[in-house]
Order: sequence, then structure tokens, then C-alpha cells
Amino acid sequence: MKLWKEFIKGWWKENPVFVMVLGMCPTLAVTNSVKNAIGMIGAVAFVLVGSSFIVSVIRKMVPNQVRIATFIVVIATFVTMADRYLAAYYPDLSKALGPYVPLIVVNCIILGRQEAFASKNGVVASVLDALGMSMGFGIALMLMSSVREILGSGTWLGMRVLGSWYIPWQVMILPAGAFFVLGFLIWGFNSINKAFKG
Amino acid sequence: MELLVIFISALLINNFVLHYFLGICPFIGVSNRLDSAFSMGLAVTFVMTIAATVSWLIYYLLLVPYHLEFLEIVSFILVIASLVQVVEMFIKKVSPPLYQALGIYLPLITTNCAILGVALLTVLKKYNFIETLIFALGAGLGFTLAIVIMAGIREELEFADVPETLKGAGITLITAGILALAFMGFSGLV
Amino acid sequence: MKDSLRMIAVLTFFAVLSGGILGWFNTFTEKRVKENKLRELIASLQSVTGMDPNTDTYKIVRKDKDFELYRIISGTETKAYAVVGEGNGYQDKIRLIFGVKPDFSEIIALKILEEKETPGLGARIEEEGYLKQWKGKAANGSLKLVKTPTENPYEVQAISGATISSTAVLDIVNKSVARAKKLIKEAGK
Repeated sequence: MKLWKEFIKGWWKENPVFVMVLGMCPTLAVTNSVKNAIGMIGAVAFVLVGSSFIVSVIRKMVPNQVRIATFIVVIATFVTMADRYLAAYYPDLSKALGPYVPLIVVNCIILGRQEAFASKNGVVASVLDALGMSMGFGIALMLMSSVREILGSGTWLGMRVLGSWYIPWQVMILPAGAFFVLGFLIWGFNSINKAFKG
Repeated sequence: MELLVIFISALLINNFVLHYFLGICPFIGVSNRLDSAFSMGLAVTFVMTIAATVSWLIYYLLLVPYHLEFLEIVSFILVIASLVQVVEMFIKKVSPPLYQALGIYLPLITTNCAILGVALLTVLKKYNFIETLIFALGAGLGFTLAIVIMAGIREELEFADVPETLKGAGITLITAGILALAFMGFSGLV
Repeated sequence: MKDSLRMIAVLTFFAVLSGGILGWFNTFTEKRVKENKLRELIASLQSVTGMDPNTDTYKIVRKDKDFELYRIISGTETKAYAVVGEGNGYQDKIRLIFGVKPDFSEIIALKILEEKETPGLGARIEEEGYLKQWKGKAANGSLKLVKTPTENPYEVQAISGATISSTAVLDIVNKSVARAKKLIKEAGK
């Protein structure tokens, strides 16, 4: 039961993007299409789950002073693997995501989870926590990219969803649109949470 | 001429915050007061320029000759993390007033994606050493510009009647969106 | 003392382990990445020069950061040249490739490799409607931009609302044609 809680807290209550406002850079940068967002979610989930697993395994043998440095080396190793894998097997996606895959290293969600959770908890709990956080990150990115792609190009994952009558609202796939959509989504998220509390 | 294009492009057209979305965390976190935003901007510019040039040297003098390009990410992040420490110690010793002003922002900089972003982009764009230096300087000043403008707006925003649930990150992001629209006016400048 | 030794030992251990794992992982991916790049190049060459990858070969004449020149060879004869050029667009760099007849009489086709222009305006340089007009244009290095549809081989029509992007593409083509011609002339001497 407690483990289940670790898994689902990241979806809504501690959603890394909407509640904790972490990992903004990929959330804004790669959500101009659903396809890019899916690639990013996959890469982040792989890195987060992988490094949470390793960190929770090694947590007792790492001296406290070099804790962060070790975590960063672990994270960077997983990020490089994700980056090289995408470059080898999904060259188009890798090109579209550009520097944002290597930048997962400094994504605060990942280091934050190692510091706050995986370095203090057992392997099972850490992996579930990582999976849950990846889900939360995934939900946020899917929401963002769906809104932006549908409004900005009239398509979803490349498929036409709005008829030819629709004139794409192109600002949505520009950087400015990313800020607007995320701003309004966070506003909506807070309002819903407040309404349920009150 | 090419150097000027790189500088203007990094400063205004492809502004690091408003176009590449790099350094958003401090952009949202530290942009509520003008003076602290300015200090943060300068600290970032300073570390960014050093980090980009050192990473460039590591990449082209160490990784490329030994075909170790795949260690790019690991080595860059370690260089940046240790560099921030060294810069912090150095400033503390050489100029206590500067340390007073920038000190508290330096640890935050390690996880500022703009620093690693510059290092990665210079490799991606195949810049040479001088171009890297100019690019990093432009990017840092562009970050400073964005964060200072934002802080100026947010100081005014304190007097505005913003809905409770929109306060904080929400309104900051929407303001940033309007700023990004304004910065689009710089496109085509070069 | 013992503590700091342990710190160094642990960190070194993980750094070496990480390097080892990545080196091992890299042996699988590096080959694929190279193949991908080669396949992409051949596909581009094919689409702008009509090169047949089964019978024709290509030779790199020049490969710089912002300029590449390929000679497409069919048997022993030069069938076409392919030129890659780069320049500043409205937002960021534009990179393109085009094929020209071996005597530089006309352009065979043009393709955009990279652009980050405004969606709906400048980004329309990637659209077929704009690109197909390049077929048969003179490869003399002094093409002109016009605003109306044109059949004249010395003129290229701009995209309305995207004059800067259209000018950028035109400049890159003109500049690259001149450079390619000069290189080939020097090589011929």
C-alpha cells in the first residue's frame, strides 16, 4: 500500500512539472510536437529509473561529501546511453531533440529525485518513485504537446484531427506559445487543486 | 562580421531563455528583484564564458584526438561542477565584495542548464575557439537581459491584482511568453 | 585522511566504470550512427541529382563546415555536381543541397537540409510548391528574386511574407555556385 503511494504521488499530488515546477527546459522546448514529447518522455524515464535504481543500490557505499558528484556521473552515464541510442536507431528524432537529450543531465527532476528519495530509500521504493515521477512528467508533456500540436498545426502525432477549415494557430509551436500553454496549464492545475481543497 | 552575427544571434534572436528555454529555473526563481536578477545574470555570464571555453578545449584537445567523443556529456558536467567550485573559491579570496554579491548564486549555477547548454551547442554548431568565446558571452548577456527585463516587470506586477492560483510560476510564464513574442521582432536582424 | 582516500577511490571507481560502460556501448552505436549519416547523404544526393545509388558513385571534392562539393560519377563520366551550402536565414542558419549539371548550365533540384524559420512563413521554403521552381534555373551565381510567378531561368519567385528567408536561400545558392565553379576550375587546371 505504501509502495503504491510512492508510485502514484508523482502523477498529480507531487507532479514534477505542474506542482514542483521542475524540469522546465524540456517541457517547454520539445513539446512543439507529440512525437518529440514522446521521445523525450522515453529518454527521461529511462534515465530516471536507471539512475534511481543504481543510486539506491550504491547509496550506502558512497561517502556523503562526494554524493552529488557520484550521482551526476551515474546520471550522465545513463543520459549518454540514451543519447547514443537515439542517434543510432532514431536519427530523425535525435536531430529534432538536439541538445535537449544531453541536457537531461541537468534536469532538476532527476538529480532532485536522487537527492530526495533514491539516496534514502530501498531499491523497490526508489524504482517505483522514479516510475511514478516519469509518469507525472509524461502526463505533463503529453498534455502540453497535445495542446500545442493540435492548436499549432491542426494535427496530433502527425495525424490530421482538425479539418482543412482550421487555420493553424502558429504561435503555439513557436517559443512564445510554449510559455503561454505552460502558464495557463499551471494556472488550471492550481485552480482545480484549490477547488477540491475548498 | 561573422563574429558579430554570432553575438547578436545569441544575445537577441536566439535568446537563451526565450528561444532555447535554457536557464528557466533561475529565470523563474530569482527574477523577482531587479538587483538580485542582475547579479545572477552576471554570475551566469562569467561562469558560462569560462565553462564554454574550457569545455571547448577539453573536447577538441582531449576527446576528439583520442576518439572519446562519447564521454562529452560526462566530462562537460564534471568540468562545470568543478569549475563552479574553483570560481567560488577564487572569488572568495580575490574579491570579497564580488563574492558578497555573487556568492549565493554560484552553487545554483551548477544545475543551470544554460551553462551545459552553451557547451553542448558550441560543439553542435562546430564553432572554433574565438566563436565559442563570443557565443558564450552573447548567450550570457542575453540571459542577463532576459532575467533583468523579467525582474523589472515582476516588480511592477506585485502591485497588480493577479488571481491567487495564477501567482508565481503561472503569471511568470505567461509574461515570459509575451516577452518571447516581443523578442521575435529581432528575427531577421542579421 | 582515510576518509578523503575513500572519497577519491569511490569517485574514481564510478568514473572508470562509467567510461568503461560507455565505451562498450559506443562500439554498438557508433557504427549505426555512421551508417545513418551515409544513408542520409546518399538519399540527399539522389534526390537532387538523380544519382542512381546502384550504378553511380560519388566523390567528395571539398568538405568544409559551411560548404560541401560532390562529384557524381556514372561510369567514367561526370554526371552532375551536388553542392551543400549554408548561410544565415531569418531565425537561424539555413543549410541546403542542390544538384547542378556538369557544365553548370542549370540547377537540377534543390532541397533544404536544415532550417528554423517561422512556421507558416519562412518555413515554407521546405514546401514542394516553392522548391520545384528551382528545377532548370540557371546556375550562373547571379539569380535574381522576383515577387511574381516567373518562367525566366534567371529569376526565382519569393514566398510572399517571407522575403528574408527567400533572399537567404537565393544568396546561399548564388554564393555556393560561385564557389563550386571556382573550385572545379582550379581542379581542372
